[in-house]
Amino acid sequence: METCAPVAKMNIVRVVLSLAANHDWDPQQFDVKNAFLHGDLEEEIYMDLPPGYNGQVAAKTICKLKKALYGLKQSPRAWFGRFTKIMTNLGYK
Amino acid sequence: MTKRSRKCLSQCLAIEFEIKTLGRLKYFLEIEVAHSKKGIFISQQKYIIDLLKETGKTACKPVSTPVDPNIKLGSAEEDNAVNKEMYQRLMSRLIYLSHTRPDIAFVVSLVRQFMHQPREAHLQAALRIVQYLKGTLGRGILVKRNKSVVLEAYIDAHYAGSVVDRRSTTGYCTFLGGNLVT
Repeated sequence: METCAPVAKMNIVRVVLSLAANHDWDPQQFDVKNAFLHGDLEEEIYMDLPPGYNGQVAAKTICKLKKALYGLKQSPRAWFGRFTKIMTNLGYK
Repeated sequence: MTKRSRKCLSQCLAIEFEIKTLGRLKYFLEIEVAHSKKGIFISQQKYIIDLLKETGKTACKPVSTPVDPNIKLGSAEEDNAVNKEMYQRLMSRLIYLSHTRPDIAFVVSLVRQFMHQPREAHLQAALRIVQYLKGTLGRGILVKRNKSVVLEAYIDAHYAGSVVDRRSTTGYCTFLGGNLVT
């Protein structure tokens, strides 16, 4: 199970800021809402039914996850993979 | 980044996720970012104000230096023990602050050595740093426009300099394009 996800170090943030200042770049900020819900899962993960389904589905039903959820060990990595893929597709290296 | 490519990126990302475009970078990871002709200025004024509130030092008298120059911090076993969780939380705040306040980095490295068994003397030294911060709220790092990408490093060592346990102290700093990086 792969759960190791890269995170930016403070040093990297300062390196980027130094480059931005020296090259007259204009740093922009974006916030992805519910980022961890966007990750694609590689593993098969099941969970109990969330509360509120009393009697509407057959007994002993469980859920199979199609997407990452908050709290999963895989979520940070899954999100990083998805984000990297999209940025690469947009032409960023 | 040109206006056009900015708009393009924002739109391309919006296709994939629900995003919020926050415009030019001004606040992230508890760090305030200000832009000027000289360069980019980063500081943590709000973080310090919150720290002053948390430690009950909002009304304290500011001091002009972060540490008593004659201080000799040892394990101070004869002193009263202080609340460990509180001390460790204070240390985590001070360590994070060192990112934009390298002027306290050295003293923080002194007091953080006693996180496992903090005593009154250590807490007093740590609170003095907080008092110093109160008088120097707006300080931070100016990332200057130097039109260069030269990497420079400086290092110094004090061999067996500690009067308490004869340990050595080393320090270093790295500059990229004339700006402090580590």
